[in-house]
Amino acid sequence: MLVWERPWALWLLAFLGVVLWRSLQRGAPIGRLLGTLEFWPREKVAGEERRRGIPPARWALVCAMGAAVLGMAGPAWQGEATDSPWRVIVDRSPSMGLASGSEGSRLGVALELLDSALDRGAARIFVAGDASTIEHRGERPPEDWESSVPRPEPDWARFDQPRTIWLTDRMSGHAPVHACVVASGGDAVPGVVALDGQHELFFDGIASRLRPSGQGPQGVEVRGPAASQIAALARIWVESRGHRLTDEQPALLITCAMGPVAGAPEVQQIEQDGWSLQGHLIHPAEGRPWAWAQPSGLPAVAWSPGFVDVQLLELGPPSGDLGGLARSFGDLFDRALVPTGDVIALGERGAVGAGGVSGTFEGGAAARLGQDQRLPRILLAGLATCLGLLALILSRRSPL
Amino acid sequence: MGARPEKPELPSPGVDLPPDYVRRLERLVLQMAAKGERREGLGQAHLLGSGEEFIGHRPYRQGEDLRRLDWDLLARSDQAFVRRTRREAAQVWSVVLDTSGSMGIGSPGKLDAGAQLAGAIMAVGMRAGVRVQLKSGLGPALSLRRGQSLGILIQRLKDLRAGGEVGASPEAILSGWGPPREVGLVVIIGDFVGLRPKDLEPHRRPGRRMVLLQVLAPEELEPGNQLLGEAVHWFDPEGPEERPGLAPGEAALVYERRLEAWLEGWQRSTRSRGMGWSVGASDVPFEERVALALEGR
Repeated sequence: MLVWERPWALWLLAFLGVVLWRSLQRGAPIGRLLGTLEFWPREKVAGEERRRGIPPARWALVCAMGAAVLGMAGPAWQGEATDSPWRVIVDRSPSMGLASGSEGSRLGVALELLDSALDRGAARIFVAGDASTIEHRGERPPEDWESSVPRPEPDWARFDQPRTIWLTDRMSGHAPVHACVVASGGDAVPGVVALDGQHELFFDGIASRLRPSGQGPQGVEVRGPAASQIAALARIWVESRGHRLTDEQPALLITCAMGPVAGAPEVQQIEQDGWSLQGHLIHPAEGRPWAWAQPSGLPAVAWSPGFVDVQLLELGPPSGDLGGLARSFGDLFDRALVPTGDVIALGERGAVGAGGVSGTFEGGAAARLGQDQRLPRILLAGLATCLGLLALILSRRSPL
Repeated sequence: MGARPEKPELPSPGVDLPPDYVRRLERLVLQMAAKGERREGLGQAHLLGSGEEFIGHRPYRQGEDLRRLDWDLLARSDQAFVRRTRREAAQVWSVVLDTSGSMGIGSPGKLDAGAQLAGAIMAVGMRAGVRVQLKSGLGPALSLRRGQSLGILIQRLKDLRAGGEVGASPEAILSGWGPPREVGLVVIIGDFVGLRPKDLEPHRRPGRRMVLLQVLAPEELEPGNQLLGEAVHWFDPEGPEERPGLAPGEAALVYERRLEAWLEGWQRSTRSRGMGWSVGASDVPFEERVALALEGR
């Protein structure tokens, strides 16, 4: 919507309108008597259709003055600024679903703060921070965005852009250049932080302690060739954690690549924590990348809650620190295992301090608005100058 | 295109003589008299002089001086004729002034300019001892002689109005009223829009000089220059004809070409008939045109 900083200046257009009206009046044919009328041609003569009207120079001058008046009135495209939606990057890690005192979840508190920081009518697009292709336009994100599913925290640096808001639970560690931050804050939330078939690790708000688990073992399915070292490691992890192997509705599905390999693919290698593993990359692993194959640079191992996808068809045993290999994959399987009940990692349950809001929420809009304000004025000033020069040139050919 | 405007009233229907008109008349009369005397001294015939140039015969009238009888012609033809000289033929002047509607156009008006011309010619004639007549419209001609007051003439001129009566154009006047036989100089003043050279034929006489002083408004002579591109809807002051209101671009050029051809036709026709003719805008001072009309031949 076009808005005016000094709308009173638009009244000057009425003055220009009067000038034009008077000019048109003057341009209307006047009645004159001609005693020698018989010599005036009755038929139309070439070039005769040119009507007197308003002289071109006067048109140009009036238009120049009109452009100057419009520029003086200070036009701005306010609609463009307000219509441009805010992108709200939502931290969907499990901590956002934790209760924050009696005010509901941390996500709920953050949304309340967001409402107070933004105009109620401001358009918002909620973007899943862990999967930026997932978007939702509306006043609130979908309800299932708040869950204990172990989704990773967003890669915030990717979202440091104007007119972007980071919606999270902690202020510390965030110093965006362009984006704004809305943090719920929150105290530590006691609860189970880890679980296996026999024990659970309980966090009481200060420290963690091991205690017998009241839940039974979880089902894990491992698919892979018999020679796969990773598949063997996965089965060992299942046993050591007290889970059970199953192929019916497993809480975690671990898939290791199986042949054959087409052609003569290049040997790829992954390295983590002092160990390395060589093999052929069957397909890029699907899910959140965990290990990258070299030299192709494609994800060789990926995961998402309930799934681990290993697409490296192993060529021989792993080398390097085999203890590190077991620890790395054990941590990955622990993370990917869909927890039952309120099992949420210790890092998520910790206190995050006071919440708050940072950044200039009008800044992006103001900056854009500033540009929008300048652009019409610059255009109008340029137009007025050009038309003024045109009027000057035309006035030399015909009377103004 | 704009709306058709109303047909305007005649802008200059009356005669508005300038305040110094009488003074200018007197100065002109003196100048013309002096010029006439100089010409006589050089042996040149002149309307204002006493030239004895033979211009023809007329029947002898009872009581006339027998010395003027042409005895040779009497002996040959057995009829009494008197030799006519230029001076005799110039004893009566008639001025025919167009007061038709089209004369109310222009600034100053054509009738105004024509009246000033007519007054000047009559004043010069009165000073030279000529009987002068002013004929305009249907009314009787005003006849004046030397010694009579110029005031009568001035008042008559001031009473003139363009378009005030039917039959006020020269062609209408000449068709119903002919200058008397003794008139030696006939001056016709008007815009000659409806006049044709053949309308003048019946009034030609041996020894009679005819002078046509054509008066046109400045916008009639050069509409393109006078109106500066103004869109004009033209109306005929004496009829229903009109031309739509477009800018006088190419049409003005066509008009000016046609007008020029028309004026050239007048020049040729009058020259071939031995008549005097001149055309001028209504803003040309009358002194310039009077001198040209009375001195020419």
